[in-house]
Parts: sequence; C-alpha cells; structure tokens
Amino acid sequence: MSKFKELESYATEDSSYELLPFKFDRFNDESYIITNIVGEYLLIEHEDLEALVHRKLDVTSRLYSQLRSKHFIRLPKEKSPIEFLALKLRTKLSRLSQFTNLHIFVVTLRCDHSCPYCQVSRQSEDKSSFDMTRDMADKSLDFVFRSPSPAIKIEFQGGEPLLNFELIKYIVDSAESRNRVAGRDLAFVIATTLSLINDEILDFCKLHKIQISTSLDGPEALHNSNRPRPSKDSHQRFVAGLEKARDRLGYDQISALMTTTELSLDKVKEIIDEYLRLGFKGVFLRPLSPYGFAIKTKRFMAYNTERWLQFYKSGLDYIIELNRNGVEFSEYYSSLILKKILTAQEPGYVDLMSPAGIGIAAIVFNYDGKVYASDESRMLAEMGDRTFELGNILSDSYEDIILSDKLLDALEESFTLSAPMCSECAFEPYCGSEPVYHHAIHKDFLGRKPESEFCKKNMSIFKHLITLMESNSDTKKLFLGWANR
Amino acid sequence: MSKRELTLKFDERVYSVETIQKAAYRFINKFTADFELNDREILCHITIDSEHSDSQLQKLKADFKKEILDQHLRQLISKETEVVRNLILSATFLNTDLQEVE
Repeated sequence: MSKFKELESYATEDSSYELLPFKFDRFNDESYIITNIVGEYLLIEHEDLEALVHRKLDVTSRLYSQLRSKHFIRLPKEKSPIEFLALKLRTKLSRLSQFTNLHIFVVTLRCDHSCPYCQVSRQSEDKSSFDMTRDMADKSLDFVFRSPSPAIKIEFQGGEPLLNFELIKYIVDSAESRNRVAGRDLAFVIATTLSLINDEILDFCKLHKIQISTSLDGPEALHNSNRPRPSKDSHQRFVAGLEKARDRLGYDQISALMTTTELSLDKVKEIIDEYLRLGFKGVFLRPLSPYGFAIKTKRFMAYNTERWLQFYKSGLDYIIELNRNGVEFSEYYSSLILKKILTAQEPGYVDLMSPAGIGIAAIVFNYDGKVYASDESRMLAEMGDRTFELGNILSDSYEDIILSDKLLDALEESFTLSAPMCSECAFEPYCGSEPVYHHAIHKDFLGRKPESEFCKKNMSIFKHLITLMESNSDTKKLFLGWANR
Repeated sequence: MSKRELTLKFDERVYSVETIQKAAYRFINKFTADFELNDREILCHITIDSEHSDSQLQKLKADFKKEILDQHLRQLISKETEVVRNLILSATFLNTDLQEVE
C-alpha cells in the first residue's frame, strides 16, 4: 500500500484561479516574458499566455505550479501571495524614505590629464577660478547632514581632486566632527587617477578609512591613448599608485572604472586581462556618456549602441569562460541588473532607478557652489543645459533645493510606472528612467522610448542576461552568485 | 523623401482606439499613424518612408497587428488585476513612513 494518496487527492475542489498583476512582452520569436509586480519572471509560449489569461491552464501542469510559486496567479481569495508580494515590494522601495546617500563634492575642476572624452576637467593653474572654497564646503556639509539617510557616502571628484587635497582634509575632518553627534554610517571615497598619490595622502586615507575609486581603461597603450598626460606616463603612474595604495590601505580599498572609446571596441579581452593581471576581481564595462567633451570632440558619436553591445557581449562571454575555468571574476553592470532580476533587493544604481536617482540617490556640490541633481547633470550644464541645476549652496536652503520644481518635475515626469510604453513593459522592474540622459538627447525627461538608445541598450542587456541564464544552468548559478554579492 | 501610405481597418466592437494607439506608439520609430472613426470602424492611416520594400511593409503590418493583439491582452490583464494590484500596494505602504498621515 502506498504511503501517500494519489495526486488528485491533493487537488482543491475548485480548480479556478485568479490572476495577480503581471506584464508581458515578446522575448524572441518563440516565447514571451512575463514579469510580476516585483520583477520575478518566466518565459512562456504564446499559447500558454493565452491559456493563462483565459483560465484554460491545466492545474496539474508544471507551468501552473511555477506560476503559483512565482506569484503570477493565486487560488481564489488566497491571502499569502498578496502578503509576500507586498513584503518584497516594500523591500525594493525601502530606500525611498531614506533618500540621498551619495554626496559628491567637486573640490576642483583642475586636472593633470587631458582626456579627449572627459566631460568636465580643466587644464589650469588658476586655483581661484576652479577650486571649491571652505565656505562652500561648510554649507554643503550642512546640506549633507539634513539627509534622512542613515548611511552617508561623501565622494570627492574633479578634475583631479587630489590637486585640492587640503580641502579634502578639511571636509573629512569637519564631517567626522559633525558625525560624532549625528551618528550616521559615514564613508568617504576619492575618485582619482592615482597619478598624484603620495605617502602623505595615503596616510590620511588610512587614518580616515577613505576608499579609492580609480580609472583603468585597459593595457598600457590603450590607457595612455585614452588618458593623455604631457609626460605620456598615465598607465605607469597608475600601476605605481595602485601598488602603493594597496600596500598602505589594503587590497579591497581600491576599485577601478573603465571607459569605452572607439579604440577599446576590439580589445575587450585585452582590457579584462589587464584587470586580471593587476589583481581586480571584476570590471564595469560602460559606454561613453553623451555629455561634455565627449560630444564636443565627437568621441560619443564614434560608435553606436549596437557596436557597444557587441563589445559588452564579447566581454561577458569571455568572463563567463574565465569563471568556468576557475577564475573568479565578474562584470559589475550585469551584477547590478541581475540583483534586480533575481533578488528582492534594489541596488540603488542612479541610472537604473524609478523614481530616478537624481537628487534622491545622489547629489553634486560643484566647485562653484552650484548644486546639481547628479554627476551627469553638471556635465550637461557644462554644455549649456542647466535644466538640472537645482540651486546654489551659498544662497539656497535645503528645502529650496530638495523641494525645487526642477527636481520634483523631473522625478515625476520620468517615473516609469506612468511613462508611455515603460508602464506596460515587462522589463520595467529592472529598468530606470534616466531623465538626464533623455534630456541631453531628446530635450525632454522621457524621450520617445522606441527611439531611445538608453532603452535599446538596456532591453538588449536584460534579454541577453536572461537568455544566457535560461540556456545554461552553470551560468545561472554564476549569475545568482553575482546577484547575491 | 517620398512616402507610402496604407490604411488598416478595425472593428470598434473588437478593439478600442486606445489599444490601437498604444500599439502604434511602439512603432513610432518606424511609421506615423493617424486615426479616424467611421461608423463602427477605426481607420488607422499609416505613413512610412517609400524606401521600404513590399515585403518589409508586409512584415511591418503583420508585426503591428500582433502588437495590437498583445495590447488587447494587456488591457484585459490590467483591468482584471486592478483591484488586487491596489491591495498589494496598500499592503506595501501600510505602516511605513511613505504613507501620508491625514
């Protein structure tokens, strides 16, 4: 006699089910993707989609079980799916009540490099014109500590911020002093090429646990070509600075970003190999932004989205192959997206948020006292478009800036859940609104999505990552690891 | 550049104007569309660059019609799940700081 009753005995008397909210889109010629309100997904065939909506699903099928377990359907009046979905959604949205974590201080616009794609820097010895003053720094810190966020990160940018290291020291000391009362989780980052790093700077970084975010574009020839210095030694200085910084601060205190120029496009393996050679655990493959000098020098136009996607996909293939051969290495943009696809966590990446991350995930205090909604916003202003200039730290209050129509209108008008096409897009839970990009290209906060390169780029990446996961269980295991880091 | 035009007819009892407009929006990078109501018919006038071959045009027309079916299905789902969507949202914001206090 069997220990268990037959399967039919466990079937509910009523085999009907109710739909939970979900969206769908064509995934490829054979299948559709469906996503629910928190971004869980399934790939199904068209007949199954029709059967699902018209209550014709076989309740003993595997698909029925998958749809129930991923909360696309529920039994009539069943409560737990509602509670689970609400809990996951609340987790995803929780950072909204604790807005503005990242505060960027542009301490100087001066720089020792003259990169042709750089959006903002100036080759100038004139300190008074391009350096932030102590008064501006104090007022900016007043603003920083008004943020309700329990975690505050202050990032120093430039130009080359180390050219105004005295002000960095002043801001770090002042912020730490204020934080003895405020009690926030306070962290500092310096974004530097490392070309000017020295023992005095590293001692200060060690003492105050300051992290270093640096730039590496690839092997020596490529890096030096992208990042020219008068002495043509940018890569050499980078490697020496990296070694010194790691010795003093610890290996994991230094991260690197790369920029893709047209020279990089057929060198993705060499770029990744250089990151590996120098001991990095991953790379952030990112395209040029359509701002500042990148447009003036026509660098931005040197390759289109499709060409960049080829570069990205080849790089990702190579990274997956490396992992299969036992080399632990990840691609950071994919990891951010996979976190959105595979977990209930929201990584808080400014470009992929809705409401947009401008002002509420990051804000910029410029060297001249102006306050911008994001790093890209100040770059746009350098091109003459001051749409995202929110005010001046010397004359405007916290309320004037954070409640300004300029910020609130951009947030409201770009919200993906009410934007044409985005509101019904199955990939919306993974995407973001990026009003600054769309304003730069289309001159409005939304742009028309069928014409948007931002939309094309991200949709292609979402589809590519899901295709890779669905076609290979080892890749899915690898991606789960990246998503849960 | 010269243009080609074609008109598609839809029965108003089967599809809403909104459904067809939403589908047309997704093709905004490929053609422009004007709408006209004629008794129970919705007329959708499509204008496209003449460089498209006949086969490309037929493919575009087929894709547009498929998209209209998808939009129709989306509206069914959206309407049917509206109450439960609001239930999930109210449960999400219950007792959080994001809920506005009256």
